[in-house]
Amino acid sequence: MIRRNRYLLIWLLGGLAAAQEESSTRIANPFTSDDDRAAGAKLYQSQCASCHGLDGKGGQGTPDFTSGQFRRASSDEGLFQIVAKGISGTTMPAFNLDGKQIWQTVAHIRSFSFRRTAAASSGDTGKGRELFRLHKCAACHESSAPELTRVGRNRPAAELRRAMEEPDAEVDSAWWRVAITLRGGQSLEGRRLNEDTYTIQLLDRQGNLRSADKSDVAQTKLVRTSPMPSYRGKLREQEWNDLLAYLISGDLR
Amino acid sequence: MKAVLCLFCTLSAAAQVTPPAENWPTYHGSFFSQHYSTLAGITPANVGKLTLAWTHQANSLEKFETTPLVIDGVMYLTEAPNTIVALDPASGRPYWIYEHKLPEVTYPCCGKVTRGVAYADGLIFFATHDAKVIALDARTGRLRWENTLIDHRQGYSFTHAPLVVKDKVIVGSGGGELGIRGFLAALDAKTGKEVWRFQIIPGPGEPGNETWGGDSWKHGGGSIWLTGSYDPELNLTYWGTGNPGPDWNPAVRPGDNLYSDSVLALDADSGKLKWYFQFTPHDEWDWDAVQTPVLVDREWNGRMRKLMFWASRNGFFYVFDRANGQFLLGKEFVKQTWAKGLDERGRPMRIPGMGPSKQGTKTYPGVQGGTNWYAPAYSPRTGLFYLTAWDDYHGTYFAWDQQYEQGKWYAGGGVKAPVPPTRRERIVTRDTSDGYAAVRALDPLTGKVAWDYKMQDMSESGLLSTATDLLFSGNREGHFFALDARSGKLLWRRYLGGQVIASPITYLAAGKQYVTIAAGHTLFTFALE
Ligand code: HEC
Ligand code: HEC
Repeated sequence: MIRRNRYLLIWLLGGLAAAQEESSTRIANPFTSDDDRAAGAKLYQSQCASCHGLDGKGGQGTPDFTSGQFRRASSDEGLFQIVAKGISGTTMPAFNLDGKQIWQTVAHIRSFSFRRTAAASSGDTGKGRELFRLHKCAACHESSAPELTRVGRNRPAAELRRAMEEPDAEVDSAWWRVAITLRGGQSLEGRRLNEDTYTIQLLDRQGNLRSADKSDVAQTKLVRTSPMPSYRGKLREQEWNDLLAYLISGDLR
Repeated sequence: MKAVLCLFCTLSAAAQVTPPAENWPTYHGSFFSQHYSTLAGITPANVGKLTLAWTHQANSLEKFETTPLVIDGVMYLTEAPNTIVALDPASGRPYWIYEHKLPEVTYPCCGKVTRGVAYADGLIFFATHDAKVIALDARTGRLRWENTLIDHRQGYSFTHAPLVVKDKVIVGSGGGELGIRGFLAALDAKTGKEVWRFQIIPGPGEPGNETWGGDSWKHGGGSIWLTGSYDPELNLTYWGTGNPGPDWNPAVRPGDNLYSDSVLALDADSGKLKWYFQFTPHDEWDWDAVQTPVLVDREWNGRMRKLMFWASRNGFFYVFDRANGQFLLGKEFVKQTWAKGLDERGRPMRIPGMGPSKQGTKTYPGVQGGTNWYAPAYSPRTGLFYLTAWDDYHGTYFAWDQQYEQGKWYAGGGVKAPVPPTRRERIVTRDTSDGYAAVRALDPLTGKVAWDYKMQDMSESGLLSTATDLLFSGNREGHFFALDARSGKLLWRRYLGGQVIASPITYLAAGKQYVTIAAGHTLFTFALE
């Protein structure tokens, strides 16, 4: 019991340091003790989880708190303002909680993104960078694949490895590709950026932004698999450690 | 202005069942709420030439859910949170603007929205987020009277347009996610004095209270989110009520939970309940009956009857005899997995295990329902009932414990859904495999789909039908369009670039027909060149 709590404390403090790093010029959250977080968790379940999910992963137009990245705030103070005032034009309401309660919910939503495992410490980031170059990861990841600078920030190394070993397991629709044949016979192919009832937008293979009117389209083929090859068996264990250490370092230049 | 002086002229019953074509006199277009206009200037042949006449920019970034009124040459619209604008419907230029001052904290559950006003006898009536009803002089925008109906800090807020019936203004409260006890109230239009109040969640000793276990009725919800309808011959006013509270933890409220998720038929003079029908007894999914009661006089099995058509959020389409509430027809209009069907009295035959659970239960339809508060339309010419449907769409419903605390969220669970509710999404890469929206035409005699106009993303737009067999609607993608009401064929469209979460209206100004819709944060008005 005691050991588990101590572990928990270390885990919590690690996350807190990360949070404070960002908010150094802002008002920092004064309510981040274990008790505060527990109170925050309770408030979160009763006041927030309907829309944000008990697990903080979102669920109906709500962002994923476990990613550790917020679209509309970069500091605890910013998060406080959001909870107090709501977000206009969305269903996110203003909350009639007292200041302390708001800080406590902020402490709780921060805790969703605490690093779940240590970085692959055995890896050499320099060698990882070399592998990144060698395998031409940037060729895709600079334009038609997810930005990787922060990918390792709140994700366990094992999860990143799985993403690279089984790229097709879960492909967000943002990375689907499309092949379009126009009535005139011309074809368009690339990453599908946006679509509505009448039009479709894409970034084609040559790097041009294109928009097609569906009334001009003869055929559309949607590709829901990942263009990334599986790296299973293509990297040795030490190479995995190096590459993952590099990704987690967040210093991808 | 002449017309404004004519005492109660727009209140005459006949006038509001078949309103003067140049006006859009009530939120739903008429007492019968068909969202149907007899104007015939814009036709399938010329609709392709509709062009922008003017725009009006709202001074708010909240969702723009206004459906304006047009009364004798003046348009009255609302902007979030609680602003009323009177403007010239030919040029868009405002005459006056009234901003209701709100306290710092108000409790609209899901956006500080407001949907419209009511008009009668030179007065504009409006219901506020701090649970007041106000009356303004329609010419000057000056406050005539104000009445606070309840302490808004208990979670009450008014977001819908009032309904004026004879000499009374009828309103109801939102707050079903905050543990309110819903009610409808009628105020004297001249003085604002309350004349009657109907408790949607009956108290001890009142019939229906036995459908609530223990004290659960105290926070039983039953919101009013949307304007009702009225039949002058029967003197009945019809209202759809919201979900029971807490939304997703039904264990704390054993029983049918009357009169949540119901249509109520109330005597307009006394507020006495004439009949009711509950669509989703003991609701576990937040499927409020916040739909428009569409009243239609039509033959049914060889006999003229006073009917009511209702497409419910629970996925079923219903037909009633609105004189006595007799259930005549019920048929699912979208994919649903929670009921085997309806029994001969219209009560759903529930499939066990489809309610929310700790680990989550996947059920069709999702939380926004098969349809929702977006106005359907009826055309007496085509005989078809039109609605915005969300089909092939599910939610994963969770339940957990929740204590009631005044002014706090009281939902008892939550929902995950692949398709989000209203949101300013400008990039949408989802495909339609997790659900799609359609403008759906039903034959109300059978409940069968006559035609479907499918869209890529969901739609939260209301509909408008016209005497020239046009059907106007919009969608979340930001388009506004006109369909052939007989076939569903697209005849005209414009990209407005902001989501449509309101209903289109049409009216005449200086002899010209206009069509108006709110999209994004702008009101757009179109006319022929
Ligand atoms: C009625 C549904 C609902 C409830 C209840 C709700 N939220 Fe939200 N929240 C949303 C939605 C929707 C968004 C996304 C808005 C947008 O940016 O489009 C959001 C966004 C947020 C954001 C901004 C995230 C970012 O990426 O910038 C924070 C922080 C947040 N909510 C915290 C809370 C907290 C804390 C509570 C409880 C006290 C809460 N929310 C309750 C619907 C809700
Ligand atoms: C041919 C293009 C391509 C190449 C080459 C490629 N990727 Fe990817 N990668 C993608 C795409 C597209 C995705 C997103 C779709 C998916 O989940 O597979 C992705 C996903 C990922 C993810 C998961 C990101 C997340 O947020 O879940 C990681 C990590 C990743 N790639 C790392 C790499 C590394 C490291 C390399 C080089 C060894 C590499 N990728 C090479 C296209 C590519």
